Amino acid sequence: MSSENNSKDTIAKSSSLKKKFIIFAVIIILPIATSNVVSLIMSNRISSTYNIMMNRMSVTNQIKNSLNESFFHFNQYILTNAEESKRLYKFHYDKAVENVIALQEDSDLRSRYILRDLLNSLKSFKEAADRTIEIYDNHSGVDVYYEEYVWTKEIVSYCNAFISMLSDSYFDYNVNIYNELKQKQDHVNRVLMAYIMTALMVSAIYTLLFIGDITRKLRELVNVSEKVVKGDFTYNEGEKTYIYELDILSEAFSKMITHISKYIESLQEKAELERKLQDEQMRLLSYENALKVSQLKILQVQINPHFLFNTLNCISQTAIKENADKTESLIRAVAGILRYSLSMMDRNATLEEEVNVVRQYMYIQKIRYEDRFKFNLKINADLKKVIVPAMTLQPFVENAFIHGIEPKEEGGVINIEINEQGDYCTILIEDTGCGMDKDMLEKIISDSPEQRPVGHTTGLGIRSVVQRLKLMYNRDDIFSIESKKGFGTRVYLKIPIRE
Amino acid sequence: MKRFLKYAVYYSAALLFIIFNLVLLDSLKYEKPVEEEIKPKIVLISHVYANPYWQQVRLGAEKAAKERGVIIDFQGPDTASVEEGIRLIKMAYAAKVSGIIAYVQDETRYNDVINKVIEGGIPLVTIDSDAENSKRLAYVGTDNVEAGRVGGREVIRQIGTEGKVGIIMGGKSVKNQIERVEGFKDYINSNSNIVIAAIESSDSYLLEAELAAKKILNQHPDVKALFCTSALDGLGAAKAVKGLGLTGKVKIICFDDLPETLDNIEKGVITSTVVQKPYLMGYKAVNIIMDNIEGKTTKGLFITDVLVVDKENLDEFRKQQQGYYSEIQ
Repeated sequence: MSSENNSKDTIAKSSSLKKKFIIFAVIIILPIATSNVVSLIMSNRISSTYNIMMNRMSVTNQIKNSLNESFFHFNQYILTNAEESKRLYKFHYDKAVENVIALQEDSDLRSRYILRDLLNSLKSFKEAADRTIEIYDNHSGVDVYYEEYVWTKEIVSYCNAFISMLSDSYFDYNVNIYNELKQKQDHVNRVLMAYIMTALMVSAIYTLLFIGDITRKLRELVNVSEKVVKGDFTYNEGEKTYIYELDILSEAFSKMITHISKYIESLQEKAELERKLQDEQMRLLSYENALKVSQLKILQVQINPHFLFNTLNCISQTAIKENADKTESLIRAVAGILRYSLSMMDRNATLEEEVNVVRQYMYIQKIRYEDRFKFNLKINADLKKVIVPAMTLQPFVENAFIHGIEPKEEGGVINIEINEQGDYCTILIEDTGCGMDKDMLEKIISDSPEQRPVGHTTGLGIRSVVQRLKLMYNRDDIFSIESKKGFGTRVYLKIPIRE
Repeated sequence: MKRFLKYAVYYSAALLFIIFNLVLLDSLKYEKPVEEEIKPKIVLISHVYANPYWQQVRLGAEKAAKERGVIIDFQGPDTASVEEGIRLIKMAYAAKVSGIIAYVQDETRYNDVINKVIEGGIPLVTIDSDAENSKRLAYVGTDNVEAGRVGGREVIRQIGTEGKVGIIMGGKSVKNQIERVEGFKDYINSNSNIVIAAIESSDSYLLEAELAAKKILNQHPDVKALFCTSALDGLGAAKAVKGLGLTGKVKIICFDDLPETLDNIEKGVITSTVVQKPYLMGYKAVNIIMDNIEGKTTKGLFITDVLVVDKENLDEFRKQQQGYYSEIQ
């Protein structure tokens, strides 16, 4: 919303480059156009003045010619008495008068006074000439019309004098007008010069300011670009140039930079969050670990082994006193397993020790299940040479009982075969129990807390046993298992022999 | 603030351009000359065109013309010429002007022309110099005999009733000069014992006037005053008196009011001058013509008096003269 306002604002205040160029062009073109028009008008005026002057001069000349023609024909008439000459004398006179009247239409005051005098003189000429002709036509002698004839001639000379005065007057008048126009033109030229100079100055200043604005803004953008390249995203939009395009550009640039820096910030935040998540997971794991340890500790603390052993010893003594041999041997077996499992918790054992624990475990189970199963142990190896983590074998056997023999009503056989084969010692734990399906197998192998069958176990799952073995010997081919529903399960262990 | 400045610059630039355009438009304005009705014309033909005396006649005539709604066409030969004077009258007659005011250079030769003009129905008044025997409507001017008498009275006032005086005249056959000398002689003869030592003519030329004055002063060292009957005679006499170192010792009584004459009065070289009233003559002549045109027949002699100007009333006189000029402008 605010950016929209902002952009509207910019449009209102700034003018586009195009507009600026138009203003520039107007500044240049306006004075030139004006000066051209003004010059044109001035020169037109001068030329029309000149034309009028020439026209008047020529008419004046025509009047002079007509007058002289008229006087010539008047003379001719007096000489020859030809009617044609009389007609021509009148014709030319009329023409002269006509021209004078025409000139009276548009002339200056002084010329009009002269024209009036001229017209009157022409009339006087006509009167005098007509009188002369009249006397002449009466066949009077030269001495009678001579005076009138001379007067006519004098009047012609006066007419000519007026005509030349008229010419002078026109000339003076036009010279005045011309001078006036010339002065005016000089004035106009000076103003035009000043005008054009001013326009040039204004446009120069305008251009300089304009270019200054552009370069300043461009330099600013370049500087910011260099900073951005170096990874500095701070950008304060400088002052406005009031050039639409540049302002838009700079604004867009600043927006872009702001967006980029915001994006980078969000990326950093995300990374931080992920790191935190990982830390959390790690903490969770170690917590779980600690929990396990503490579970074990709790177990250990809950049953004080010494108390347990002393109690078992006491039970065993009591059993001997009461002659309960079976009970006494059972207790001894349990105590043996318990002692072994407790003492061997975090150290390795020989296979012989392991087999002994299995025997004791079998003894207990034999008493418990009596004839429901058969246990065969075949040993064909030097058990003392084989080192395994404590409590490795027993879980497998226990497993065979729990998942193989126990659920099966008719019972079964558990076979353990230990053979030495070169560098390896192979152990086969086989039961003819009910076997397992795939799901069950998975459950057993996996070590997840939820999947572990809780209850009658000695605590350690198959998977952790296998894991320990694998870690100890750093091999993957130590353990394999096969099982068939209804037919039983086989576990193979292949343990390297160490000298 | 910056924006405000920017707009101020924009507007002032625009204003500048508008002003330039207005100036240009204004200079293109073309005022058509006002159509003036042409008025009836009276031709005033002077003795000599450029003469300052006649310029005053012209001023008076123009004043009257303005009042009566006519215009004056002031003409005159460049140098005194009877033929040119007659020609100008004839020309005005041929042009059928409304009236003619003319200076008569030679009475006998002017009479015919004047009669012809009057017969042609154009009113004609003589000015400053008369043609008594013609049919002219009226004469406006100085009575030159009377002017001579005034001169005589002034000489007596200056030098008393005894002593010798010299006379320099502007032409021995020029009518007004002769009349002035006559009047002068008449007055001093009947009012004093002053003796006229010599009469010289300058023909109205400055150098000749100076020489004539020197001649009189050399031949008659006891001359107390010089009486000069034309404008330039006075100036020539003043030059001579100054040249001979007689300033103040020989009084100069002259005619007319040329600026140099007045300057010399101020300096004390010329004692006094008999001044005619050309302005009044011009003024009166036009009025007489107009009266006649308008049907009020006015005929006869219209004598304008003369005035003696000396150091005492010089300033007052000059002021009056300037008044005439400024009136016209």
